[in-house]
Amino acid sequence: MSLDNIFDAVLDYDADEVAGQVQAAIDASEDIHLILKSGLMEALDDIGENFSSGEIFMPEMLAAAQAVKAGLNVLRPHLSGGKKKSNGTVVLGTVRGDLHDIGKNLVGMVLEGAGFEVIDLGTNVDAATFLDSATSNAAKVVGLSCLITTTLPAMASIVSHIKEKSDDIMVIVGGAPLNQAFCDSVSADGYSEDAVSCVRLVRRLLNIADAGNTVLRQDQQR
Amino acid sequence: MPESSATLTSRERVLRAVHHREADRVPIDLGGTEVSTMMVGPYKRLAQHFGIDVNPVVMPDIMQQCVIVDDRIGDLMGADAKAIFQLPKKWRRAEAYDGTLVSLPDRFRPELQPDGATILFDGDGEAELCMPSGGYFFDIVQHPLKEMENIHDLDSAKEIIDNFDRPYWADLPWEELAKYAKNLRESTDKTIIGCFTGHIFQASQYLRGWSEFLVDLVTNKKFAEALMDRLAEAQIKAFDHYASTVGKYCDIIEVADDLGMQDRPWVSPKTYRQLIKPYHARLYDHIKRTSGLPLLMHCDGSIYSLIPDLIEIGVDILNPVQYSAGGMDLERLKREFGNDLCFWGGGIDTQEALPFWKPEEIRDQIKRNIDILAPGGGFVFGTVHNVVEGVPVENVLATFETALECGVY
Repeated sequence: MSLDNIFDAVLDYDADEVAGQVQAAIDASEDIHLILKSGLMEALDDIGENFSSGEIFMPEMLAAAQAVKAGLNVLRPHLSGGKKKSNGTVVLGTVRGDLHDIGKNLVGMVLEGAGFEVIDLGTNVDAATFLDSATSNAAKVVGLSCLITTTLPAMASIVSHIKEKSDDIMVIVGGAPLNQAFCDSVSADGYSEDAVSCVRLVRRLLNIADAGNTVLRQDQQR
Repeated sequence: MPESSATLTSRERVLRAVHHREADRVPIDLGGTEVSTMMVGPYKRLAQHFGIDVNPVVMPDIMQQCVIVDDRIGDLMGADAKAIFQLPKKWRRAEAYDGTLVSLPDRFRPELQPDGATILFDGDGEAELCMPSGGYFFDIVQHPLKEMENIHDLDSAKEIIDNFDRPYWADLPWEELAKYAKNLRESTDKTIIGCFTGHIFQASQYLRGWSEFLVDLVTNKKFAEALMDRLAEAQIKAFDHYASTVGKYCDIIEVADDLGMQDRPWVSPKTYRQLIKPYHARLYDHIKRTSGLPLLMHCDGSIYSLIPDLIEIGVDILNPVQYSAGGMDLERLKREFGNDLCFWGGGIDTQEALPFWKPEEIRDQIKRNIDILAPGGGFVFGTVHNVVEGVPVENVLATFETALECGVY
């Protein structure tokens, strides 16, 4: 079955094969949203579970995310007749003073694979840019990333700025020097330690069920 | 009971620790490597605290904006080691990230941009390094092998590959750097550490792109191996030159390659053993046989599952012992690897403790860490990575005062 071929190609980390199989499924008039859900999203969820449990590492996670992204690029124009339907919009960026982005990039790819629209602002992003982008894109979640300790004050300041200016934008944080205690100290709405748990966090914050359309179990919620 | 150590020099103290013997006290490192020194700001404030004029501040490490620690400061902190950085032929005065006037390599000429970023451009006008506005470090922003598809294309990148870790602005010939090292050796009793660096894995990430190289390890293994093979050969050839010059005056050779993330290694142990370890093994074996010196490896992050492999390929000293990373429990590290490795670092966490805790909290943590790592030697105290901007002076003082007080055997 063509959806199984897509799923298997993601697990094989084969971006070209994923793109080819997605096109083949489209050509065979498979349901577009089923291609997204059963072919791509569930495969990425599987991979994500393996990453969370420590069975696979960053190279495999990145390769899988890139493979899914290749499939999404083929699928996107066909989603909802060309008008993209998503689970919600998330604005991402690495905070001002920091140029590191590998973690943020992976989060973006995994969120896209999970059906979110991602606005990636890149690196060295200031508070006003985060807020403006979230406002103009009707994003309910802003994700802040940093790698180096010296930019933690910048992250705190950005969280504070967004919270002051908006009542309904939620701010989540992630990055090597961070932990839940830091998140709590800056009154951010959530902290995730890796890309996979970030998807769970965003789903929880936006009250969205997982890819299998089951409500998240208590132990799956952060 | 420690051996009689009434008149130990710094060099003797460190080498006893490296060879798993207790000295008079735990040796201390501040300024002995490029990853155990200080950024300009906290260094300047420390010097001001002591009323010591350290002008001009000497900053050979432009990427991390880190200094050569003045001996007067080092002695007050109990420092037992001195780094041989890659140095320039000529120095110039310019401002560091915080406006402090420093001496830095003359050929390092970044340009201030309208948005406040400072960028070093290459000969083609492309940004090579960038310190963003409000930032404290220069980061590599150009990945020259990013678009490469074929192994044969690597031939065109020979110069870039051969010179990784040897940037053009650090252009003092090693024959001259050897004179500096000789003079240092003869004028001080400190342990002299040759910072050769010798990146292979990180070099591949920088040259290819962080994500790109990691994905290569899954989908384009032959390319990844070809790149690492060329890097290993280049580092081996460079080390032959280093060993015959600078290395003659060193007590320890330092290499660096960050294999860890915060919670796990970058790659699985299987991937490390199959794809990366052979190149580390080749280089480190060559370094050990050629120099006859102990090998210190700087390896950030969560690397517990890779440590047996590092021991196997000749690492004698492990730095920085990032105990805030996953699985890097100090008691377990000492228990399982303490007979095979000297732990260099591990004194106080630099991600949270050193910058943000109170001095008394820092003291308590350091006492605990010393109690775990010091018995039987095999421990050189240091901060886990450089003392970066934002660390209060009182925290630096608490750190090294406690190390001196509580490190007595």
